[in-house]
Amino acid sequence: MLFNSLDFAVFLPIVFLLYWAVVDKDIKKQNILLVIASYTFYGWWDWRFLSLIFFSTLVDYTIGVQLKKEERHSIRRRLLWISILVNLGFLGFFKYYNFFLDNFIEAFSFFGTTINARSLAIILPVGISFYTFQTLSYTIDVYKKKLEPTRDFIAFAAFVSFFPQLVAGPIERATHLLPQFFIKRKFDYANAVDGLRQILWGLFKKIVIADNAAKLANEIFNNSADYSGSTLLLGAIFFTFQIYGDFSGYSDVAIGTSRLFGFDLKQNFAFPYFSRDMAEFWRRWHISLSTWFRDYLYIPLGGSRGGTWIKIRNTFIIFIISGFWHGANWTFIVWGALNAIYFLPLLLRNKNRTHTNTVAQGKYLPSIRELTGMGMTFGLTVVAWIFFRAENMSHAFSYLSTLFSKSFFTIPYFAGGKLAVKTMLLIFVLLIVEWLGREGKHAIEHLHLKWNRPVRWGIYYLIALAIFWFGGEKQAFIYFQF
Amino acid sequence: MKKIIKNTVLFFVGLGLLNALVYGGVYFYNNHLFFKSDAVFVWGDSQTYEGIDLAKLSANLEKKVYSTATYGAGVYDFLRFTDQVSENAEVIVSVAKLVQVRRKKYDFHRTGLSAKSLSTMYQNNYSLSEIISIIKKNLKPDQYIRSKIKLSPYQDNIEPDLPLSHFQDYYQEIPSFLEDKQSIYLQGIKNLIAKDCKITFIEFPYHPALTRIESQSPILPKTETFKENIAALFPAFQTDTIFLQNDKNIFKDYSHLNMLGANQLSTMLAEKMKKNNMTILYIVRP
Repeated sequence: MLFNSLDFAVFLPIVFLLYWAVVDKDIKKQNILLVIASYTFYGWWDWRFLSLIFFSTLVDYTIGVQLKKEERHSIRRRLLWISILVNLGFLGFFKYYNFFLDNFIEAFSFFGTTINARSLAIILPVGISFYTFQTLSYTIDVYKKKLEPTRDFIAFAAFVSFFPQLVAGPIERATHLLPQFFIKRKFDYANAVDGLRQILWGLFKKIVIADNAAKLANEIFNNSADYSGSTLLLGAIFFTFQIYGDFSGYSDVAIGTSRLFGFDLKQNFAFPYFSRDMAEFWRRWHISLSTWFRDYLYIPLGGSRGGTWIKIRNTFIIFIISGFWHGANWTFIVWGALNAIYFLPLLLRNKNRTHTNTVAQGKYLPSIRELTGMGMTFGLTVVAWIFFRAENMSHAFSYLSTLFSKSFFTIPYFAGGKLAVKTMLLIFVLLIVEWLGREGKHAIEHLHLKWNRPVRWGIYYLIALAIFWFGGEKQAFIYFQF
Repeated sequence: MKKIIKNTVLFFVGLGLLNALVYGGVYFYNNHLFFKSDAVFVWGDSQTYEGIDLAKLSANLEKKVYSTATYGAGVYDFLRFTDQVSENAEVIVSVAKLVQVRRKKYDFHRTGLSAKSLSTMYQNNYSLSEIISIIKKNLKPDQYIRSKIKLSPYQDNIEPDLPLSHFQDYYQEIPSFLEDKQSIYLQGIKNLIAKDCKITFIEFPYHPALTRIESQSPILPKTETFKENIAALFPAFQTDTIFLQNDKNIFKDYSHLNMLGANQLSTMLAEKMKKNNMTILYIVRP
């Protein structure tokens, strides 16, 4: 079920009413309802893959219980590996089998040996990368004794399948989300209303920004050979806003929906395009994934402790794996590596934590220095997104070579100029609102507080009408494929 | 809990009203041409779109001619047209065979929302899911009445987008929805009669290759009877034939005229319309 669908618009109020009006007295019943709702939400796409989620839940629940009982280190380690192998095994098969097979065949053919093996027509289960990492966080934390394993299977199943963030995150840590399934939830009006505001803004980002930008980015990327460098730059910028609107919009709807049910999810995007350097960008972009890799991969590898080569190695490992997590394609790996290259100079000069506050905090406008930093970071990000969006490596390189050719200095021209102007105006509105709200957890969190109700409602109506009237052609969420 | 439900309901009611207001404004802005007086309004599908040269027809009739013809126009679009034209308006309506036989899923059905038209569809065996799909297609009003149309340029030979097999498939057997579509079509004509409109009917020609397929089809008697049913709605009804000169290629493809054909037809149609005051069905033949 998509958040931007009529199905979800019907589904959400029904679950909300049942949750607060029918089963509100009993936490167990609320959890059962959440499991049923979450399985319905996921099964709407393809019920066959519910068995995967169920199996993953069962394995990690059982291993958690066993880890509690077992004190012997070797057995505990073995249990952890079983969980890792099962979870990553599913992920590896569904997401990476064909990639490895194709590269294997290609590598052998390079040396003159032909291997007869066929790619499989595998459907990638939606959200597998997200819930796999979430369940892994549980087992690893239980193994490290940071978390008490649960004996409540229903609560654990609700944690794994929690529908607002099941298919595209934020990837929640067991230590943060799981305990919330054991606490009596109270309906908090102010929290729920702000959840609705966050949903509204998330839908604006997805439907108005991402879906319009998608049409333009698709046109330019799919026909990149026909366009000038300046047009390709526009295409890359449109994709930059498409992916931001798409994914941060999804996260806003997910977090807002969770708040309606009394749950608190971690912030996943903190206005990343206002970052002053790449290190800040990575603290603000897809925070739940970055911190997951930091805690479960980067730090165990030694993090930034140790010599220069260890730092370089660990940075490349984390960024490349993060790229590969996004998809089985060399373009994602190069995207990750490129970001490592962007990040390393800051790390090696100990400048990776220069900007830990919000840009121009307490001010309306940034300083020239901040503006320059933001502009340069944005530019670097735009170039990196070209690899992310390109069909393959040769497409990415040909795109870049045209982009940085003489035609960069021509006036951009392509079919869809009218839509481009409209989308640019809408992006401008997005940037203004996000800039004004950059100190909040979401852009319109504080926008309402200063004004009286008619003005606030007027703003909500404007956003809702913009969603309806300026929304682009419906597109699936990009991160569903990851 | 009650407060959030109350406020959410209030918000959506307000949003609905605001949206209706904006919808009405945009709709009026897009389709204000319907309110023009002393004009001729044309309805039809792609055959009409490609087959009538609006500029030529307008010049010869000495009246403004506006067309709502569009590719894939369906019976719902016709009902909407009949809703929108004003009383006593002069209209040209295509008796389009493809409107009757085209698979429902390919019908355009994007000419605005009307409870009355949707109800007519429902009464004529359109399912609830089909009705919902029409509603979904019409959530935003579009501009579909125009005074200018770009015709297909002349070429020595036809260049079909759709292969002949596409039409063979249509004409193989009588589709289950044929009578429903014809019934809705007739209802639309009755709407025009009730509005006292001056109606001119027109049937566009097929390319000989498609005519051969049609002539062997069990559908042909049904579409012929349909014309008789239309005639039966009027106290006085005539049929006339317009023969186009075909020493040069007048077709764009199997079912559409090209610019040359459209020019010829528009000139001849205007001449005939100026002379006649009756309700006439012009059957165009190559």
